[in-house]
Amino acid sequence: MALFSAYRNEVCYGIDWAETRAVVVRSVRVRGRIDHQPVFEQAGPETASALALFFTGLKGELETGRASAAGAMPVSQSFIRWLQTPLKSPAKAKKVLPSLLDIQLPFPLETCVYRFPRFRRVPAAGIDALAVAAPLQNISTRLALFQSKGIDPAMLDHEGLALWSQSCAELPLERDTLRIVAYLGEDRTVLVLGRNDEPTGAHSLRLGLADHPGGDKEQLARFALRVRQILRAQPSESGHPAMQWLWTGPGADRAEWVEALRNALNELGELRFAAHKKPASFLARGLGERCLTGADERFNFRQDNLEHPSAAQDRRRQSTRFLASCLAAGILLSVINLFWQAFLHRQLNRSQEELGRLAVELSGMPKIPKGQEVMLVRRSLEQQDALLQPFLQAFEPAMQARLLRILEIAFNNQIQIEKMSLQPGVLAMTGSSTDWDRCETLAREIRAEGYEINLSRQEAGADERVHFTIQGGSRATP
Amino acid sequence: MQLHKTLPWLALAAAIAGLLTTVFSLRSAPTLLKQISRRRADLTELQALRQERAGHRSALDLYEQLPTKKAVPLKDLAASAGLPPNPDIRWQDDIPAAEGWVLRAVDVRFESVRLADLARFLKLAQESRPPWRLRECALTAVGSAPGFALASLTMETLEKKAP
Repeated sequence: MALFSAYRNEVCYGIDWAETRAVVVRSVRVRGRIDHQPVFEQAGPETASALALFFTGLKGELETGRASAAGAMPVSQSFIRWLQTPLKSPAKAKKVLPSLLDIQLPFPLETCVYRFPRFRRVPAAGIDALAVAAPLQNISTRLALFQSKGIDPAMLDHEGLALWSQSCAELPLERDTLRIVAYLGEDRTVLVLGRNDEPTGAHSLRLGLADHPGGDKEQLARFALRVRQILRAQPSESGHPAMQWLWTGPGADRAEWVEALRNALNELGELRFAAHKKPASFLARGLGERCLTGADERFNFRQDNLEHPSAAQDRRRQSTRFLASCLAAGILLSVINLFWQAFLHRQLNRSQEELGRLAVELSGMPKIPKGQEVMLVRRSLEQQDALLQPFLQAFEPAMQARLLRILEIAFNNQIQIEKMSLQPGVLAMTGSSTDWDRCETLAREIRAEGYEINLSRQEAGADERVHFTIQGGSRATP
Repeated sequence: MQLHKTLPWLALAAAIAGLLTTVFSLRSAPTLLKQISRRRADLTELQALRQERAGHRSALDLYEQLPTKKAVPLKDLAASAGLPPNPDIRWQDDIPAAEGWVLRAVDVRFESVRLADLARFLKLAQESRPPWRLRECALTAVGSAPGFALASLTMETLEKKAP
């Protein structure tokens, strides 16, 4: 059973309603801040009907979910306490806390709505938890009271916690100071005590503005006694801290009432008195602020069967939104992946087609198996090269040219060729010349044609001619 | 109401589908990319081979453009050069070439020729189309007068047989 945390409203009407006094504050979330605007304040016997009429005017806003309403569960009808466990793990502590709470409640736990909204780790001790509880009967009664006036608050917060968190929000705590927030109401006085940002207890005294005593010393003495008892009951492990007393509530605007109470508390020791601003709407501001923000101790007694319809609607809406997001994300992811796959396959098919086409073109084969394109094309081209070789050779320098050149050289140098053999890369020649130098000239010019040759000559014989032999080959075989 | 009941199942199905397609995609994408990369590399290689062979083809293309695909008979060339009209001719085996062409080689023997006439014959052979190329040559002087020789030649040419 989850805490009510599904508020998406930007507007909340905090309702501080006693029998004969009501204050409503319209809290609006604006750019991360909460603005409070008192919109209703009335005291007297007609308060309830006036409040009902006021909320009739807000019906449209509340029913459409554009705004919500938050009321308070009185301290006298509910319960807060810190429970100590020796366990180090919050998860384990949560399992034993209901049993620990059951022992401390004056009524069976099964008849309550309860939660543990806050935990703290105590060094060398264990885990402490703040328990908040109220009997179902009390909650139903309180709700019925609202609903009888046409008001259906979506949130029923703990009065003491609302006072505490608003006090901390409006006036930061001093270190190691015990703060007492004294709410002077129409029909009650609520004292909320705390230190170092944590509430330690909430108490309701049957003393209110309606009981404005004038000079009733007995009531004031009882008040002072009760306060003394409460202060003495505070944990004293840290010695005697400084005490700060803050007035708030509609009674805090009554100077004589505050003065009378203050005088009654004189004998309790050193109390530093101060007052919150705009005390009459303080509780209503606290309720609205807690409704719109995620205060740690924010708690809604409207759980399970008492849950406000808008909470269930909002949960359903969130769930639908989440599921729709999952659906959209799933579809988008699927589509993206499918497109990506399709794109890759298309790329693959295109490159395969192009490869196949080129392979067929180069190889001259009608069809080539996939994966063998390069191998088969190379093989085919090697075969084609063999068939093309004669054409390539046809454009290389012809041997005719060499032969004709050699014959020309021989003719120009008056050389008679006796024998000549010319093959690709090989030259053998015998002949004769009129003198020694012409043989050398012949050899030189043959070398200039690209041959590496050896010339051997014999002295002129009876025919008065120099006989020679030339043998060799071309440097670049044709 | 119906939407509220079916939406969780649809969301679950979509989430599973998204997850499965993502897993499938992640597993198959590297393989596909590798295959694509390999195909592109093969394509580049074949394109390089095509470019390389383009030059080879151009030699064949020039032969294809010849007005006649049959070589002038050597006897005719010999006669034009003033050589004895009936040299001893022995054909070697034809060697197939590309696109229906054939490399034809022949041994030609002139008993006694003037070297100047031989030179003219060789020039005419080279200038004919398709050209005759000299592969081997053996000359032996004959007679007492200079400039005459027994010539044994091996000539070759490319011819295309009629379809």
